[in-house]
Order: sequence, then C-alpha cells, then structure tokens
Amino acid sequence: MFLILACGSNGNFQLGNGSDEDLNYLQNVHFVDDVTIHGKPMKIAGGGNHTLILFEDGQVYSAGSNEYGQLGIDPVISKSSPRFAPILGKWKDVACGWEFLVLLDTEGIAWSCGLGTKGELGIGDGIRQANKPTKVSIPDGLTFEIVRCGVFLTIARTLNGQLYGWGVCRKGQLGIQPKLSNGKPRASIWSPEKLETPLDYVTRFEMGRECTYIEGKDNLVYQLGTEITKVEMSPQIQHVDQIETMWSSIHFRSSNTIVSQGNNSHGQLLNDTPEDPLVCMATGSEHGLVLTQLNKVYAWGWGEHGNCGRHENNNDDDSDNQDPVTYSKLNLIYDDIHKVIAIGGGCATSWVVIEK
Amino acid sequence: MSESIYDEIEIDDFTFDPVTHLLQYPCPCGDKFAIALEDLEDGEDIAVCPSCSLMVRVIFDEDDLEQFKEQLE
Ligand SMILES: [Zn+2]
Repeated sequence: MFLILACGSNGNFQLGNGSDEDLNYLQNVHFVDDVTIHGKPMKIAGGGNHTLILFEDGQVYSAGSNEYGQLGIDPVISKSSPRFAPILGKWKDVACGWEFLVLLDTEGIAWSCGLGTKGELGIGDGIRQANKPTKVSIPDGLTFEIVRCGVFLTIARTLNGQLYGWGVCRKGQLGIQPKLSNGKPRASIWSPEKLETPLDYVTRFEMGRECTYIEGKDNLVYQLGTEITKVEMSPQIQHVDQIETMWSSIHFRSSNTIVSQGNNSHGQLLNDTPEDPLVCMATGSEHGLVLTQLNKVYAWGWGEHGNCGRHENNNDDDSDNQDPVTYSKLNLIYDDIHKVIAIGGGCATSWVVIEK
Repeated sequence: MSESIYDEIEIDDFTFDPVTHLLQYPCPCGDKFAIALEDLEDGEDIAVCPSCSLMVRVIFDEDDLEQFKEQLE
C-alpha cells in the first residue's frame, strides 16, 4: 500500500493531516474515507493554501482552504477541508495556482474552479470565481495532454507540443503581448490563447512567478518574459534530465548535478551535493527536495515553516530551540526503510510518497 | 536590513483593497505580503507577511499611487 507524508506550512489545513499546525517532520496525511483504497498516487500539486493528489486510477483528492471553491468539492460543506476529500469524476492531470485549480478530464478537456482575478480560470471574460469545476472556454476539438499552473496563470500542452495559456500575462509570461491604448502591455487573458514561441514543439514547460520556461528538442530552453531569451546552459549540464522552478529561480538537473539560476536570498540556489546519486528533484515555492538512490530525501532553501525539516541540532522537543529559516545545505527529511516512489513541493510544503 | 528582503515586486502586481487600504501580494508561505496605501504615501516601501519573516520591496513612483487613491470612498 501507499502512504503520503507531508510537512511544512499548514495554517489552512493544506497538509491534510487534520490539523492546522505547521510541521517540521513528515507525518501521514488523512483522507475523509479510508486511506488504503486509493491506489498509487501519481502527482501532488500545491496551491497557496490547498493541495491536490492525483491517483493512478484518475481519482483526485483535495485538502486545505476552500475559501473560493478552490478544492473543487462542494463549497457548501465548509471553508476548508482538514482532510483529503474526493473531487467527482476521473482526471488525467491536475494543477494548482494561488487560489484555484485546473483539472484535465480523460478526454483532455480542461476544467477549473476557485478564484482567478486575472483570468486564471479561463472560463470567460471577467469571470473571476467558480465554486465547482467549470469547463474552460476552449475551441471545439482542442484537447490537452498536460496542464501546469503558475501563481496566477495556467498553461496546457497539446499532444503535438503546442502551448495554450490563460491568466496573468503583463510580464510576457504567456508570450509577448500587444500594447493597450495606455501604452502598457495587456495584463490578463481570460480564455485560452495559443502561445507564440520560438519552438515548433515544446517538450517541457515550467513557470516561475514572473516568467515561463519552455524547452524544445536538444535541451534548447527559452525564457518567456518581457522579452524572449535563450537560457545559456552551464557546461556542467550535458543533458537536462529535469527542469523545475521555484517562484524566483530555475533548477536544471543533469544526472547527479543540479545547476540553479535566480534569486538566492534564502539558499534557493543549491550549493551542495548529497553523498549518493540522485534519483529526482522537486521544487516548492522557495525550497527544493531531492531523492537519492539510498532512498533518502533531502531538502534545501527557505524552510521557515518546517518544509525543510528540522535542523540536526534540534533533536529535543524544546520549542525554544528554533530551526533556521534558511537551509543552504541539504537537510535530511526522510531516511526510513519504506521505498520512496515520489516527492513533491508546494507553498512551503513538502511531500513524500512511500510504498509500505 | 537589505539581506532580509526576499524580492522586489512592482506595485502593478499588488492587489488593492479599498476597504482595508491594503496592497497585497502572495508570499511563498501561503499568506500575503501587505502594506497600507498610507505607508507608501509616507515613502515606506517594505511589505511584510504576517505569517513569516519574509519581506518584499515595493517598486513604485508617487504617480502610481493615484490609481489607488481614486478607488477610496
Ligand atoms: Zn509569508
């Protein structure tokens, strides 16, 4: 069976463990129904104060703040869900933005709900809120394979590598925008529009808080911002195995090497190497996680809410013993016998899926 | 002081609430950075988060504040 463990920021029950206290060690999450029936967790998506889990069989569960209907469950039930509750239907991909979610159904149609004051929901001009999953305004026949959300925007990719986006676009996050009569670029896109990019086929895409990164064949990466620029790859990166973004930095993994670019105010740019080879990395808003071949999970970056675990010198239960805010070196958060099958990061939250 | 500033954010990216007079922007912890319009008028430019130690510097000109003042009352 599979278990999902979480730690970090929990003020709105976004860890789904029944409590609203922050956690600096991994603890089981809870489901409103029985935890053992859901099968294999495939993806964990974290929003500002809510979290989604996608299972292999297409079920999706959500927990945390439901203030604007961003859990996709019946908002009449409550303003938050302290445990993971099911969203009706079967889904093939999920993503969370700041106060909204986007779901792809098995046909590849996008649905969204929650709050999107800048077009994040993509359900029509000026429509800012939906209490339950609502069909995104996509032209007939257009379907998507993958969806991702930034803080205030959504991008979905078609089977043939084309990107469509909606939400905030003032900084060029969805491609260069036309200027309005006041001389400023258009600020919001309320229904999906095709992104104009230098790439014929986009293999991967990731969003930072104010820009979007797209990758084509041969590890060619562009940054979409106020201008479109090619990202110069460090010579240490032979082949990009993974690209992940925090809100203000980007991280390339090439086998056991991670090369980071961007904001380093809180140790976000990794400057440490674990003792054993890497399996994968994941990022949250301003912290990162790595899984190693010896089945250990380490965290780094901004860890103020316990999302990077507790400091090794903080082993007693003395609450006066403060953990550091910044973890500039890798900090061990999981070292147990059960096999880790996935890791994930949200807004100051960390997630480890184990098989027991 | 400057080493504790997490990032710099343009005022156009903040959301203004005419009732509370607060300009707000998401914090990576899940809460929101906030600064009062009156504080910006007094020349302050650091927005703080009530739930963590992170702070951001607001990038703005005096003229940028007019659009928010117009929304009051
Ligand atoms: Zn905060």
